Amino acid sequence: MKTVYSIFVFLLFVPLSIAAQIATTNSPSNGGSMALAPARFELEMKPGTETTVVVNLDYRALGISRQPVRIVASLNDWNITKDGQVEYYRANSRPRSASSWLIYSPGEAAVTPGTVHQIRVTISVPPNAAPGDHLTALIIEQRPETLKLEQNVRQMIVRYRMASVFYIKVAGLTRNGSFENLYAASGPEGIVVTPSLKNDGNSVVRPIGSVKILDDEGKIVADIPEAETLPILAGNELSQPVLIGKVLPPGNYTVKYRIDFQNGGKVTEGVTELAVKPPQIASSEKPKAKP
Amino acid sequence: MDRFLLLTFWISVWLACVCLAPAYGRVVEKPGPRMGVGGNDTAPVAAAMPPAYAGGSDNADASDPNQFAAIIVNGRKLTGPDSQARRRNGLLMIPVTGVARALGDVVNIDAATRTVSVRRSTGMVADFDARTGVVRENGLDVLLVSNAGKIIFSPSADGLFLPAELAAALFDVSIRYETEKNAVIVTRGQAQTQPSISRNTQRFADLYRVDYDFSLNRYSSASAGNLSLTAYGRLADGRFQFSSNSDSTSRRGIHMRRVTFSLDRPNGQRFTGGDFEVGANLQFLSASIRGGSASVPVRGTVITAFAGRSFSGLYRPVSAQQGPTEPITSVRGSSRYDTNIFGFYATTLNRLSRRVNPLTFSAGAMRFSGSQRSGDLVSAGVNYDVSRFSLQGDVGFGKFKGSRPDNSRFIGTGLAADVAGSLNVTENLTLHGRYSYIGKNFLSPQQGFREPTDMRSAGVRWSPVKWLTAAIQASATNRPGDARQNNKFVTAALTITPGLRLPTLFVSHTQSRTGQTGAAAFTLLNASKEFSRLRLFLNATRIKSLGVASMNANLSANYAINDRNSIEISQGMGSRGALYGQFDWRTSNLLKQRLALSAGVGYNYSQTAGFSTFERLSASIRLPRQTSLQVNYYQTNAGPTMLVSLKGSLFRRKEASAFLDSPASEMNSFGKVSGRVYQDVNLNGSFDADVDKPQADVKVRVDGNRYVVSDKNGLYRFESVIAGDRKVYLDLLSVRADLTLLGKATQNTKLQPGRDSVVDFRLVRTGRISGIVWLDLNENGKIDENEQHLADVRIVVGSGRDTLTDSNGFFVIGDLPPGEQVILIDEKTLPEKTRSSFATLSVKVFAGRETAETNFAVTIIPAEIKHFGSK
Repeated sequence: MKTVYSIFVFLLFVPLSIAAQIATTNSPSNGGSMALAPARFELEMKPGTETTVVVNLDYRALGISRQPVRIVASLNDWNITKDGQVEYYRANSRPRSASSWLIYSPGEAAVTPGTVHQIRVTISVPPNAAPGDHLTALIIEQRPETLKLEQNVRQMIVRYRMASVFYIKVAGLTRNGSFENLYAASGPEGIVVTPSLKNDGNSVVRPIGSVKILDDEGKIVADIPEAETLPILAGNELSQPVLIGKVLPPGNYTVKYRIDFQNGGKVTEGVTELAVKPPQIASSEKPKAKP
Repeated sequence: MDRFLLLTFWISVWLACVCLAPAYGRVVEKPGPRMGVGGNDTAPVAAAMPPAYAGGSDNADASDPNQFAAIIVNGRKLTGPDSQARRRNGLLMIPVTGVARALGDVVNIDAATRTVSVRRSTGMVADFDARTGVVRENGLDVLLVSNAGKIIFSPSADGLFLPAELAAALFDVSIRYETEKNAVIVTRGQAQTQPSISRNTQRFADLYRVDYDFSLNRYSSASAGNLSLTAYGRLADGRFQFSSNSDSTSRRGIHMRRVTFSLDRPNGQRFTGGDFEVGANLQFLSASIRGGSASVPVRGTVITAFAGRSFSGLYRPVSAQQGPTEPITSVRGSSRYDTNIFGFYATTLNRLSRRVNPLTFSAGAMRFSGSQRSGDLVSAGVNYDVSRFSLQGDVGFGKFKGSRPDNSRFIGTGLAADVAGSLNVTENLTLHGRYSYIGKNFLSPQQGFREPTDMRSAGVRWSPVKWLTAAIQASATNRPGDARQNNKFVTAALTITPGLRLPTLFVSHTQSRTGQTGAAAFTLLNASKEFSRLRLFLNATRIKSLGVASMNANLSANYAINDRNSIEISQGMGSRGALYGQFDWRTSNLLKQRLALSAGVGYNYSQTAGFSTFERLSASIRLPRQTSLQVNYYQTNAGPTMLVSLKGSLFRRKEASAFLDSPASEMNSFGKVSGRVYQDVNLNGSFDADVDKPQADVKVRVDGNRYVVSDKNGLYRFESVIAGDRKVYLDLLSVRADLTLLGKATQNTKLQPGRDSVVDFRLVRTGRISGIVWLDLNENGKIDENEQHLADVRIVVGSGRDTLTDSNGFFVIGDLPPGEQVILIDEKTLPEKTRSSFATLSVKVFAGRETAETNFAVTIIPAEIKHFGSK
């Protein structure tokens, strides 16, 4: 039997673009791309109701790669960790999973380049569903065509894995964002500011944060304008460092991190002190012997 | 009240009643449960039942087996005892043994255990257990029904009757009812989607819309009200409009002023009764009439004849008790219809087929005869209208008898002519002129309507650049027979609109000389400037007539506080120390943009009248049913005044908007498309209310982008679809992910005008097939422990779906419609020198279920064996 050479397989997890809130999830590759839209569904639903939405899969290919590819759909649970990483889990393995509420069609298809393929997703919220956010993700993976058709040639296989995430928001939502801690440190690449945020509610919050660093005279020496942070899922914490790429001269500074949880509450400002020390200069002199 | 008015009013009331009665008394036919499908002759069973059984009472049971003419199984009519379908408790009951015999199936009925077992001619075995209500097919549940305990198991097997949906599942047949044959049709095989049904839903008369407009003015000493009602609807193939207007005062009570009924037919005919105006195309034939008219198109010309009574313009005093200072002067008297009038005229159509003719001619004659004046006249008119040039000319000539405006009586001939034209010399330059002559002996039915005149006017309008327009107009008017009436006017105007940065200016000056006042001048200046939230206005006038010239200037500012609130303040001053000013506050967008309020105070001061103030308050409320309420309150030195206006719709059928808004020639070219989207749970091809599931929120489209969404009962409806061949299709993307269409998503229907085309969409739950592909080394057909499971083998279903086996040789193909599916292996994907043991497999897919263990054995192609001889 002839050998089939698979040089390597890329398994590309495309970031879910939750923070950037982009509308599509793209998987670039050599000479082609595949995109899912929308990349995020936020559906406010009542218990016992049902709705059907469509996820569009746009596959574009160029040159020799213009051939159909086979995609397989599946459901995963997902979460954003404290350090801002998106992680996936087996369906129905996480608390507040909505995976069992979704059905989709088709589960597998051959998609041709230059066309948009549509996947129907029906969400049925059980009558006894608890209020709050319930999460799941529709994962689209490329599955290799049979390798046996090209047994005598070397093959390179690029596999995509994309997701469209679902927030099923069952009525009775609460968003309780709180500012838990603020830490700032100086490093060779700049200042790292790490706010610790927490969401005690049952629904995601999408805070808007900004940073200002003031010197002894109260003058702003560095800042980051208002921007949306990563979302903080229900019951989650987030401590994602923010890098300000500016090296400050030695001295004492005040760091102010201002955050609006956009939950109807007041804007909170955290303040901490930052001491930037002079860099250690290596000396050729031998240290004097201790007496 | 005048006899004519009374007659037309009661005719209109009668017509309204005729129209209203069916609209409210009708039982609306809705698509009900259908036990069967068929062509145009198919009808819902309940609707088609003989009356005695339509209620479904038990006493109708079996005593009259002839309630259906026949039961036809696979095209063969059943005969003999217990071979008729029956109706019991509203259910269609099918004789089990007779149907099984006709289908070639073997049936076993056990009355003791209340079970039925059918071995079909196809080899499949289905059984029904009345204790659990479950129908199984080859051991798999395919249907669950409630109340199966009520099914009667007779001692004789031939006497067992089962409800149609149970029988359909048990025998795998479709069951439908045909109205024409009064027969129940049983057919083996998958039922087809019901073709579209066309039915007539149009009635002789229908009322589509009733609008009202009521106003009430309340003064310190009196009140007056006015009510207008307008109704629109259908009468036979025409569109009618009925309008009435009545008013009331605190002293006189309610008074009907005007009632009109008109009917437009698609062939261009128009009939009008009541109060109306004639002579729209011939100004010298124009008159207000109480009577009737008819317009009929004849070969590119519309001929109109009218007759009735007109009023001479003299007013009848209301009563001696009526006070002289009632504020509403227009209701102080009622018109007296004292002049008989009749006439006719013809107008060429300006639109022949699709070609627009810029030239139209009209000509006609009229006779009127009253106590004050009478006449016979003929008139003609021409209208020519193209983009650069337009011309309207009218001429009238007649013999008249009566009183001139100076009350002198005469008998003689009179002439009138009127020509007006406009020429766009260039895009920036327009010339216009008019000549009008009405002789001193020319009379119209109404006094004061055609005064003798000899008028010439001309003007030019020049706009060299976008922001500048200059115009000048001059006119000279004489009155035939009266040398003192000699009036001349010249007006020059300049408009400057430079844009947002500079103010907008309008200046005009009129210089005149009249026989009564002599030389006069009127100058007007208007300027405005807009800032981001602030607008400033300046108005100034100078009037020079008799005596000293008077001047007036007013400066106003309007400031938008926010999106909802704004204030306006103005201050004016005039000659002889006159001062006036006001302050207003306006707010809108209250109560979800339903309420707007404004309030203001102001003052006036003049040396003659002294100082006075006024306050005002107004509210505008938007109410449901397109209703709006406007309330204005004024407080002046003369006392309070309250003005209330309420207008809206009493009744409106949205679906009739196309009929009402389209041209008369096209108003009858619409039909309706309706139907139901449902999940066919029992797979019998028709909607059964107790079993099948209506699908809500599904998009159904007609011809392109126009779509409606099904309601909670799965029903959808398109109103006003243009008749013809239409494509109705279901947007599968709005359907539950586990449902699919068994037939085509697009259905063609031939929609006829005024009819309702019924197109149902039948969805079924999908199923799936799973199994393993393995290398059957020992070719025993079983998966043994040492045998390899084959990965990446392509499995194809006859419908086109395919999949690949995973690393364990396992595959699943989903989204398959229920029914028999042919499944096979793509042998190109098998390892070399192997082959599939089966060419194809026939597998039954069940709705919402997985047909597992559809395993494919792959065997090694045996080596070619050559036998050699011993030598």
